[in-house]
Amino acid sequence: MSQQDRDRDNDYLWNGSGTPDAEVAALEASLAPLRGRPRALALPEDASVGVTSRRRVMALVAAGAAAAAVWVVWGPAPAPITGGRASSPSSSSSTWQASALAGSPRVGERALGAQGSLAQGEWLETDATSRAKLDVGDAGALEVEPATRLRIVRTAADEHRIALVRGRIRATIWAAPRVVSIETPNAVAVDLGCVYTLGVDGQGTTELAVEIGWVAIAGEGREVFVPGGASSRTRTGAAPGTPRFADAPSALRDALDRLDAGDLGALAAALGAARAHDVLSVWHLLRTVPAESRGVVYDRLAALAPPPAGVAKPAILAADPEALDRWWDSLGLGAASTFRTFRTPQAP
Amino acid sequence: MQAARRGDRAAFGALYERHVRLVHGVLLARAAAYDVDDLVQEAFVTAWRRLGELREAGSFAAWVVAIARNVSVDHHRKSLRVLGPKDAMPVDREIPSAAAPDAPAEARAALDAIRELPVAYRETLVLRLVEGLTGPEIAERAGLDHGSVRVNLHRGMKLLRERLLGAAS
Repeated sequence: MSQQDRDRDNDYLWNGSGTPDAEVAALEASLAPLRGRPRALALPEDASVGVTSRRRVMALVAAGAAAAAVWVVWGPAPAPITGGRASSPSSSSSTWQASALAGSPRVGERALGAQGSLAQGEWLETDATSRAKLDVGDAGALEVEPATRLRIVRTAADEHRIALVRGRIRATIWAAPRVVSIETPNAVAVDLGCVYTLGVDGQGTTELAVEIGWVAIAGEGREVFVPGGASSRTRTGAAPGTPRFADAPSALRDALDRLDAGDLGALAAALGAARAHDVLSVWHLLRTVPAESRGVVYDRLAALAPPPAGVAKPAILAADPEALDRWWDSLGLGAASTFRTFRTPQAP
Repeated sequence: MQAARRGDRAAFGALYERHVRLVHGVLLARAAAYDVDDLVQEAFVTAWRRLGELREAGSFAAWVVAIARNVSVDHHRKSLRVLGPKDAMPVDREIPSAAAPDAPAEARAALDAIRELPVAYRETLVLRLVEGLTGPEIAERAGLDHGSVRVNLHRGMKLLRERLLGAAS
């Protein structure tokens, strides 16, 4: 019997039944000392159940319990989809499990039932009343909302790429950072380990809202990292919009929308509406407003969170990367340097 | 789950008991063994604090596993030296080299061999061989389909055999 046959028939490896496989049993015995013998769960007295507020998100970040940060880097960014060609798979498994959650989703021309599949290159489509679930290989899962159309562009052991051309998905991803990416008509959302929703509306605008962890969204040569509790909108032909927390004042959100659309006249309103926690957005503006407007952004950010010693205003006005990094590091949103470690070459 | 959502610590303790091995295995596949107990605690404390955000009670296992993975990623990020762009690499590949120093040598060697495998196989094999979960239990608790878990177990075991044979020779 070949090793392949042995593996296929190895019920002991699968469920512990049948004749013990000597090699598997030996490994189990060797590894047993490492088995979890967890201590009793110690919930902090001040910890309570609830929807995490932005302030608590920041506290969790500071404690390292849930990373949340936003960072902007310049350089080559992955290209948005242009209509979609499927790359050749680099692994033998190019089909994912898919199932209908409600109504009658379709995979190509066939109806999707309770236990179906989606192959690389095939389209999964839901109508106004149907929903579906899609396992992203072994990297996570997508809930596909009504009126959505998507397909697998590429799936391999170390990369899963999906094209979302319309509708909305909710992704729960547990793969390593940057293994899963979702292309939309004007951006690419790259998972960094998190739970998030991504939608494309009728105008092609991409809406990203991150629940846990963080997502990098790239387009028009710029990549923005959006933390849990925040969102970013990418309009056709524009770079990803300024991230903002979900509970930011409506005046700030409106002003940021105008700024993202190129209306610099909204800058004063944005700065005036920003609260202490909105340093997330205000810091970002330092890198996106024209140089001549950087001074007022500096003054507002300095009022909300003074720059650390050694970070001088002239360096910020000159958009000195090191000075901006140091200021960022002092905001309690995570260290700028760590996010750079996530940057890896993108697939062609 | 409903009681835990209402703030019942004992009910959440029951969720902890049910899922702790799953979370321990996921973290052991990604972090140094001597850090894992602390990271398990961190993952569950985070889950407790954010339980109100979980939309579907039936997704708790997959959700807490996602939290655990985030915790491990964050742990690695914090422990990494500052790297220049040329040195940058996915955090997931920066795996501490050994199990707990006081673990038997064969356990450390076997765990190191598993942790050289692709992440999908690594995690599944740790859950099966270290934590003692069966394939169906892994599938059910992690919210995966049986086929994926079976494939990962068998392909991972094949690769592990090759590595262990290579090391022995």
